[in-house]
Amino acid sequence: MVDPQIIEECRNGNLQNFRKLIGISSPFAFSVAFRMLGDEDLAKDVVQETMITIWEKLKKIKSAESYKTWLYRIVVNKCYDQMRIKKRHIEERADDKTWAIISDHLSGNNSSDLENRETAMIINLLTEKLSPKQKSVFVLSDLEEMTTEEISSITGMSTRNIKANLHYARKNIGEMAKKYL
Amino acid sequence: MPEKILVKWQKNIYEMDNDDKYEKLLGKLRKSKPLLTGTSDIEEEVINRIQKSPGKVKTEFNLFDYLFGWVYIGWMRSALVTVAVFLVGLFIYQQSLILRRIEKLENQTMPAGYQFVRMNADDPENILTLDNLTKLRLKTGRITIGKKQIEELLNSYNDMEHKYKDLIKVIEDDPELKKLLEEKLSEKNIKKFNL
Repeated sequence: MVDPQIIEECRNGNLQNFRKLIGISSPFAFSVAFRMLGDEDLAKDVVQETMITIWEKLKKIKSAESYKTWLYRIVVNKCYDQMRIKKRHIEERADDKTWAIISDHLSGNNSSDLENRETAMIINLLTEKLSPKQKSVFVLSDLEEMTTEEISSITGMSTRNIKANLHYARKNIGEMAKKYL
Repeated sequence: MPEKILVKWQKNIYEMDNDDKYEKLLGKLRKSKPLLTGTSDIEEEVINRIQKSPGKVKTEFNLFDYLFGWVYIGWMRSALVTVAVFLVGLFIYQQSLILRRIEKLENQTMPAGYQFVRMNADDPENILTLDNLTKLRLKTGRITIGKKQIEELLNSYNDMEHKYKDLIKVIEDDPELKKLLEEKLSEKNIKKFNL
């Protein structure tokens, strides 16, 4: 994901290299944050806060190899904080027209990717009944396609706990999909 | 086709359709990676905030964190709390045990010389007797003897002294008996008995 040399340089306080690190890490951090929070602005805030935390604690990182896990861990924790601070109400409900667009995408008539707004709407709707832990496990496993071991090292949850949360999340989302789509 | 099998088949078709929808939805969400726009704005914002607080990085390594950072490990903290509670419990139990034993010993013992004067202050004979005893036998300073034992010792000593005096008086009143006793004593070579 990131060249270990860049991380080493950043550890020595090289801001120019840290710019590079932000450029490389931000899309990954944003993807997880956006899918967990379902809000573009909040996700960008999380990315910013994450990068500042990384700069402050970069010396604590044991090896450049563990950087990816460490980055995701910070992102997930920041997302938990955001969820706790702002128990969001879904302000933007999908109207019939939007649902028609989404159905269009799913039926295969529209092969283009979902826009951020559409993705946020779907994720918000499908995951509104999930706890933060269930949401994080679902995003990391089913959307970011990470292994159980990777999720375990990011979230600190046991394998069994991850499987249980994932099972509940999938069941719940499956029911929501039946209901709305 | 029997109705039961038809219903089951229809149900499977329905479930497959729903699973298919779910999988399609997931596939679409996976494929549609959220697009981050304005990366340069984020970069600028982060760099600005870092530059506004340059001291923070330098103070990051501090000795306290290095030495005691391990207390932030969850399992370590709970283990330490358990050990601390156990030690406090043990300490309280030991203290109560020690206090009980001290109390018990205090009831059982007394320092001989000091206690003698206190308990027999109204009896000058006893004071003199014990004084003689301690001078003769207990030259080691403070000793510990039971109160009851001292009382028994004093009583038997006084009783014996009375009997001795009576015996001497009887012997002195009877010259024949005195002579006979002196002969017997000289025969047995007993010089300590002073008539």
